[in-house]
Amino acid sequence: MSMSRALILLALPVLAGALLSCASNEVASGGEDETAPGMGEAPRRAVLPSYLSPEVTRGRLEGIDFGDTVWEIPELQKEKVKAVALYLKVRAERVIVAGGAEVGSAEYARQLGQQRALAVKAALMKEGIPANQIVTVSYGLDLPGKGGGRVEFGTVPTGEKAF
Amino acid sequence: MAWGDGTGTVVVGMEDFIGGTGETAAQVVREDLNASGVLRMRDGTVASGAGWTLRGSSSAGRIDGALLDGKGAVVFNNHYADPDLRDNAHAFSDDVVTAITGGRGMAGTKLAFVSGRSGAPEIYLADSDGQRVRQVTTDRALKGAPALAPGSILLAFTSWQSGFADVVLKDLRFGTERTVLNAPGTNSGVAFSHDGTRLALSMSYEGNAEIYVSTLTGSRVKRVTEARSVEFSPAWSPDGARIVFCSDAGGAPQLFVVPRKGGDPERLETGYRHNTSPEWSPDGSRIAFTGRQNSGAAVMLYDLAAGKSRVLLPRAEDPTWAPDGRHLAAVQEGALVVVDTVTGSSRTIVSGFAGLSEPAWSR
Repeated sequence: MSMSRALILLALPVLAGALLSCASNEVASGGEDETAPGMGEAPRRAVLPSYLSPEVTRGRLEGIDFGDTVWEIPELQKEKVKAVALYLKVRAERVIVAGGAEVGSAEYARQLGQQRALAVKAALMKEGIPANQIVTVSYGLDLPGKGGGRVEFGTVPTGEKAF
Repeated sequence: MAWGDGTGTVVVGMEDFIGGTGETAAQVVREDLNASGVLRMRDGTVASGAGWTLRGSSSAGRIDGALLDGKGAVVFNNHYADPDLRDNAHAFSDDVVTAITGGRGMAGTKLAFVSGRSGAPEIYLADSDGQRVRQVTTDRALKGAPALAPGSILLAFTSWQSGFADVVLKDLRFGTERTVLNAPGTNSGVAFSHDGTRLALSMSYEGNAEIYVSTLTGSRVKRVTEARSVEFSPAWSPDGARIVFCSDAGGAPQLFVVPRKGGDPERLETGYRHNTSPEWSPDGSRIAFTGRQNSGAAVMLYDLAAGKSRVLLPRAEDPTWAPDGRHLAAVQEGALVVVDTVTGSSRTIVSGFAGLSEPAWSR
């Protein structure tokens, strides 16, 4: 109890520093070496089911189509996002948002697919789906299923745990 | 330096190598040195004032190799005793290049690439002459974006083995693997700094893909860019002070340079609408990249001093510099080719590997 309070107190200046840095539109911890004490540690992802694992139902929900290098959800695709949100609310299922892209460079496709998945996650959150019910992944050029320039959905029964 | 025949190459004589594996060793050395672009081999002794001659012997794969100057004086005489003849021949070749030109050879370096040849995308490793291709990953999970640390002992790549895109480091001596970056989102596109102590890569755990610099273990990371767009494919300047990367802030991806410690990115006017896969030349003067127009992809060279780019290799993509700073490897029509940036000539070194992509040359 006292330990966790101490940790929170210790974390506060770090959080405040991070917020200030963002607010002033500066690069986080710019000018300092990443080996400096207290410099950022990348978070570790929790162990989560793979989009390709048997417990994940794929293809039940209609995917979102993106054109070319677009990552903002096209106007004509927004109804699909609402339908996915409705399904998730009714069924109380978790969702894996899997992004892909059909662009020349494999690395661009990975990062663009991730950006699309994050855009869909943000749209689902706007529809009231909690963040801990959504996880994102990108397969770049190798998105399974119809492949390519899409975001697909995989659902997992919620059980007792959210992501 | 002696410019022997007026074509900018130095003619080097080669005496017959004696010993049981002498002929094979001589053949590998001859091919290595002809491929260097700066030397041209011919049989026999070159006894003119500015000439050079190789003398060698080889048995059971070990090589004794000597370089003689035009007066017959021994410049060096080394013993190469690795278990494999090709390693010994490549080491001798690189010593010859360094002794004659003062520059680095590429014969002993490695190339990593991705291929789906085994039925799943796995990472492969080849010698710089395309020989001894071996598969170094086998778990059948999706993989991509390989990078070799200086010295070719550490291999980094992106693996979906966990179900998500994580960065894995593999020690090629012992075969051990370690996941070093598995933040939420996509962790990919690793480039080793030239001193081998840092990684640059894209991560998206703070909201969207940005460029980060990390320690090798992933224990400490620092964000270098901040934008709403997708930032990816970082590559280091040779002195480690700057990073070139791609950003699609303007729609299609463009090249930007940013100080490694963060700051305002500067856009490079390449003249192409869609630019990806940048890599800084070892001498720091040029950036190779893939340019895309309606007509397809081409490997381009951007000259930093002139602020101009030119087509180096048409119908090709994913360039990666050889450590000699003269050659580049790239993927052209499904094959791995090496192109000489001075003469423009190219040769295929690996073909017949399905889905060959993302080659990465060691430093």
